[in-house]
Amino acid sequence: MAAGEFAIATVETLGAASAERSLLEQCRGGDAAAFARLVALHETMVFNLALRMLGNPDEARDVSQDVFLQVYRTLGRFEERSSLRTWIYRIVVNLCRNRRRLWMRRRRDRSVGLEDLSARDESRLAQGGDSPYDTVRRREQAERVQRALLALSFDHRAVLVLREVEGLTCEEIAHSLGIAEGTVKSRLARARDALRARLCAPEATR
Amino acid sequence: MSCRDVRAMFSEYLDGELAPAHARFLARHLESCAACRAEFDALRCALEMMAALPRESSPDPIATRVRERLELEARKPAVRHLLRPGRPLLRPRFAPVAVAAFCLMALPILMVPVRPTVPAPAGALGFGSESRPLSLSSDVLAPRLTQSASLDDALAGAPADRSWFVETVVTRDGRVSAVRVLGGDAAYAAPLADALRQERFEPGRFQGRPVAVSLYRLISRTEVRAPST
Ligand SMILES: [Zn+2]
Repeated sequence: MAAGEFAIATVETLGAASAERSLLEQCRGGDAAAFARLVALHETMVFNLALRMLGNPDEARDVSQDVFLQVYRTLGRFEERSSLRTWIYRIVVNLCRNRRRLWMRRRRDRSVGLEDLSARDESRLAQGGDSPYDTVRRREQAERVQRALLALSFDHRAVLVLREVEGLTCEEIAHSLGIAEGTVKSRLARARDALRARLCAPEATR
Repeated sequence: MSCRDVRAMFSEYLDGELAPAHARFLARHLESCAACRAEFDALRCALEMMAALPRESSPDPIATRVRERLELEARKPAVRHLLRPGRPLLRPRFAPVAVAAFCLMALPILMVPVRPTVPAPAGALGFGSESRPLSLSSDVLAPRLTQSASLDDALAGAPADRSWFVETVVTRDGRVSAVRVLGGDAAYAAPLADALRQERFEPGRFQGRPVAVSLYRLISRTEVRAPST
């Protein structure tokens, strides 16, 4: 290889943490492209968390938008004690909680958007090689789980979704919810039991 | 220990957080007590159903809505003040540029479609599987590259100062199931992703067992110097 030629690409593993730090720095420096990247990276997780918390795709979309606006406005205040991800989760949970309070005041239960969701997503849920029966069965199961989730308390639902769907550790959940790790563990145990009682009573599985 | 005490430990047991002695006791109890076993199976069934909830996408793209909203707020100071009493949303100098750049960047942000090369067998709760790869952290052992990809063709013609920000999902058997080019010159994203799919790894590990891992990497070109002799 001749001297000075640019020939080999180096691949530097950043680790999620330092990749995130450089993205944050760019965002804080007013780099709109970097912020667009931040949105693209977290969009799916924000929408899904909001969807599982609220049960309605339109509400979840609105909350997701508000989440990123709040992220944009408060990036300067984000301290890197926790990861960006857990900080964003915290904003999602808080905004979902506010939205639920708003509903309560309006005395309107808008959490029954399950039919919209299933109709729209029928085709997406279908996977290669699935029979229509499988598709329907999968959709029905997802609806059952979502209904069971909505029947739990907000706090129980939040720990369950963060843990079982998003895969956070108890420590990360503690950061996201602003509660002690021990509280997360005991709440998680109760929430899991409440979900079991609604979804899989032992009688039904035997 | 009563059945009630045993059931109170289920949650920690599932998370692998129970002390070994307690875990052994619980496992033995489950073998001999049909009632607790049924209860435990039911709990696992509920959690598996939850983990199987499909990943949905928004009725319309959130990034677009966020961009439009920021644009609106930046353009109309009056609206901005109504929406956000107290703090300026965008530094004025930055606002118009920000909006323009945001629009432009809609293209270069490429999400190269996920192409699974290995079917993902469902793990206990799915974490560390190909559909839910773990990120690197202190307790996740990073995958080690065993067969590198030649990027020369993919990046031929790219200016030397370019770099790309890439996410690679390394499967439990060391293959690459997905490559997403998250930043960098869009013109090279597709060939770069194709080339990186040829990489092979010693898989990442969590608590000794192979797991799927998401690697975030910055790819840039280095100057190769001929040996000085
Ligand atoms: Zn028992």
